[in-house]
Amino acid sequence: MSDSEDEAAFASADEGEEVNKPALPAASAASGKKEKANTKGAAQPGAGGATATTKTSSGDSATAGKGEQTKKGKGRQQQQKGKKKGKASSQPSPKEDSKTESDEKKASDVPQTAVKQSKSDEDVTPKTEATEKEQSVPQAKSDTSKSSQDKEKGKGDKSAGEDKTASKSDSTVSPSKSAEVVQSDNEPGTTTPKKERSAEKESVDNQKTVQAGEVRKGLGAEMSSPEGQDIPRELKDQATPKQDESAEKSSGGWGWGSWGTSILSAASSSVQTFTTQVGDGFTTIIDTMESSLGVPDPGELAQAKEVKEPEDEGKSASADGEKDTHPPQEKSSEGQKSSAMDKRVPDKDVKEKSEEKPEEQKEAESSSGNSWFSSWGVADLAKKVQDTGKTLATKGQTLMSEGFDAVENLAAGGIDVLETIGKKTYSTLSEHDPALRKTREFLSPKADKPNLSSVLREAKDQAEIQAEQEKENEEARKAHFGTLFDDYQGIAHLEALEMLSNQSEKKVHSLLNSLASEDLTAIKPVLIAIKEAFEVNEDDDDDADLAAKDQDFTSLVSQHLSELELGTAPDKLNKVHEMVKQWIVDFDANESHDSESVKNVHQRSIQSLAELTSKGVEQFHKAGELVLLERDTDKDCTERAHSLARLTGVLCHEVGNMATKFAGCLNKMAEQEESSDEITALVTNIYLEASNSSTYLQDAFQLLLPVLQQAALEHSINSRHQS
Amino acid sequence: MAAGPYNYSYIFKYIIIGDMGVGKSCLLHQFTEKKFMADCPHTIGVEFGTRIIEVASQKIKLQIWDTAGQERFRAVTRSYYRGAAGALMVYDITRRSTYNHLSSWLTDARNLTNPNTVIFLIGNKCDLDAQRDVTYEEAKQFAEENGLMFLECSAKTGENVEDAFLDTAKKIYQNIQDGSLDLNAAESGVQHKPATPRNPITTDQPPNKENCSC
Repeated sequence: MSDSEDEAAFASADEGEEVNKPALPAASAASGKKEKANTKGAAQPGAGGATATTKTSSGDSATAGKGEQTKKGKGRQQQQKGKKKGKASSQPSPKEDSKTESDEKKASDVPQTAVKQSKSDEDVTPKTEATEKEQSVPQAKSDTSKSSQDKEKGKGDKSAGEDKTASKSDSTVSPSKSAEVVQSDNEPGTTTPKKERSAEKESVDNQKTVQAGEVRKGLGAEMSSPEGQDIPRELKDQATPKQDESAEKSSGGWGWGSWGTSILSAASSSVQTFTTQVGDGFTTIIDTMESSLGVPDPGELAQAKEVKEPEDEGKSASADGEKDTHPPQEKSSEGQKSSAMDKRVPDKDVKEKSEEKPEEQKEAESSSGNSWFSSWGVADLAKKVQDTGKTLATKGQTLMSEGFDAVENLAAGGIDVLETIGKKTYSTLSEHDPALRKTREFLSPKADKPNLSSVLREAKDQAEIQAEQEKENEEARKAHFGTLFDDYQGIAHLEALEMLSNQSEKKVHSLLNSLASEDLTAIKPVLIAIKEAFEVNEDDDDDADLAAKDQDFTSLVSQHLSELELGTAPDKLNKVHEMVKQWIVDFDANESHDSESVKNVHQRSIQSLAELTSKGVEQFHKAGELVLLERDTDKDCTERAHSLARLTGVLCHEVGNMATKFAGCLNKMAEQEESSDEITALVTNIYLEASNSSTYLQDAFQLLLPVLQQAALEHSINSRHQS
Repeated sequence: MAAGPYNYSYIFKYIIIGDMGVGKSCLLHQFTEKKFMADCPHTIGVEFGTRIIEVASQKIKLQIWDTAGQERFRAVTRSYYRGAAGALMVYDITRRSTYNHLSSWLTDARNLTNPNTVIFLIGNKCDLDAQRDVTYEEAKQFAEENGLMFLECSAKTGENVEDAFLDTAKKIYQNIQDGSLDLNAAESGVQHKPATPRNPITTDQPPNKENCSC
């Protein structure tokens, strides 16, 4: 909203106050019921105030006979209302602030008169009150008339401090001059009987003031509160003038007696239209149209309602008397509930007040439309109302046209109202429940639905575990004999050798079957000799190993391979052997093994074993292939078998040597380090893998048996053919 | 001993066959090492190479058997065909004789492998186009007639080498997916590793138990 608009609204609000004031005194003069009625009436116009009104009325009725308790109740209610107001008004927009100020102003004015009254006479007639108030009102007016900004400044100070402590805003501020009295009012025990009485009245007055304030506020809240600003904006052109009028009207009760009847009348009709519109807003636009259009004349309506009103109030009053158990009307039931709630929780926090706001709104919506006129039905006011009614009749027509526009705008405004309410609901909920966590929990059963953050956390944990596992796997791979053996193609060579062996075995069987018994007996010794060579190997193993504790691996391997006469060089075997040897020499030379972790040494040992083994297997594989290729040579297969057996022995011995050397390295480290248990386990593992390695080598060797037998068979067959 | 850690879910066995000097070992070296081996010694019997590739987000270990091309090894190398999932049949585009021998190699491949083995024809040394002795078209036609996949590659430049190996793997994987390749069959040439695999080929026991002669 633009500043000018703000000011306009502000001004209207102020005017409204002034106008409103007269009405309340009049009401106060009337009987308790009437007072209630009045209160109702005053409050009803303001949508926001409706709830409060209902409450108050019930409270009043109940209080009527009770005396001090009434005071208390009223006082509390006042306080609560004040709080509500304060809250409603305390919400951020400058407009609201200004209104709060105006509220305070009013309140302060009223108490003055009230105090005077109480001092002068307990049974104050409505008129005197009214006049006194009138006097006070003009003051206020003059204040107001100076300029809205002036007011803002002057009262801004007050409101600034009081906005937050909204509960005090009414009780403390409004009585400004009679502040003590009012407060004592609220705390009956401390006040003297006289004061109490006056206080009672004051409280009533205050209440009214408050109500008037509420009305205004109700208007303000709905029409120009920050959330509701959309509406005024839309209604701008047409509605702003009306707002002024409506404001006047809403507060019309105050200026009633002598001051601006015409303004009042105009205001009353427009307020009616407007408040109903705004109040009913989105829910009952049609109702609004009826009240503004369908009802021919506000004055007539007022008269017609006069008759009904007392009844209604009587009902509600009685209902109140019956402890609010039987709501006389559906509409009032809400209000009663809320009032009951208020009673239950008299000392609400600021937050709780804010919670009440939505309720107020609801009640306002439900009751504002119909019960506006009821306020005018107060017996005392009947005549005046009638008088005004005539004026209203004329004014009403002009207003009617304006009303049309307003209604039109309302359709659009309704959506904004919805939005406003939505926002308010949210803010109310979230104020109590930050981020709506509880609400969400309540609305969505948590157990079933995994929430995103936990899922993400789980995924993260899983990824970490996986990464860790992969790392471990990688580590394990480095020290896993089988894997390393595979990496060095040991397994592939073994597999190929196996295939070769299987094929040879088949060939041997088929050759043996094809041979004549004669040839068979001739070849049999050779085959048996070869087989023996393979068997002997295992027996000889230990002796050979014992004989050469620290063998010259390179020369031995070379020797045995050359005996095979297959043209293969042990390059790869020697290379691996040299590498390992060098590593161990380096290790021994290095006194401090800080650079070498136990893990690394273990990895290195397993890796060396695997490499040597795979190269050994490869050597056997090649030997097998070549044996098959070189079938035409005269080289005795039995000799080759023995050479291969010796080679196997050398290889196996070397594996054992290597394991011992690596274990020695680890044991050396164990002396320096504390983690001897871990090292023991690793040493055990090395020996285990060494035996594994020997097994592979011997398996490879055994696979050569059919190959050699096949070679021997073919050789003998060939030689026989040749011969 | 604890189960060995594996980072692949399948093993495919490949066998590379073809005349001596067509560049089988160089192709393998190019594929596994991404390098060209200038003076490659004659292969004795069979050599091996491995590389883990990814097909359809499955890690597959290619176990490649690079056989000797010399005629004298033919008897030995024939025993290695068994259980190959893929066979790369290589000829030299600059030497027609290597192309002419293809039918012989193809016969071996057909007879010694299972029917689902993917046979991929590779015309190597396509970097030597000036000395070309076999046209792409006739080789392509030969491949189509025999239901082979075909590419011309260069182990020297690496051109198409990767594709030849990967396309073969994709085809094998596809055969597994559509069920035409039975993983449980002894000769499928494919080993499936469970997620937390065990050592497939006997680390601890004597290796003889597999492929008993029959």
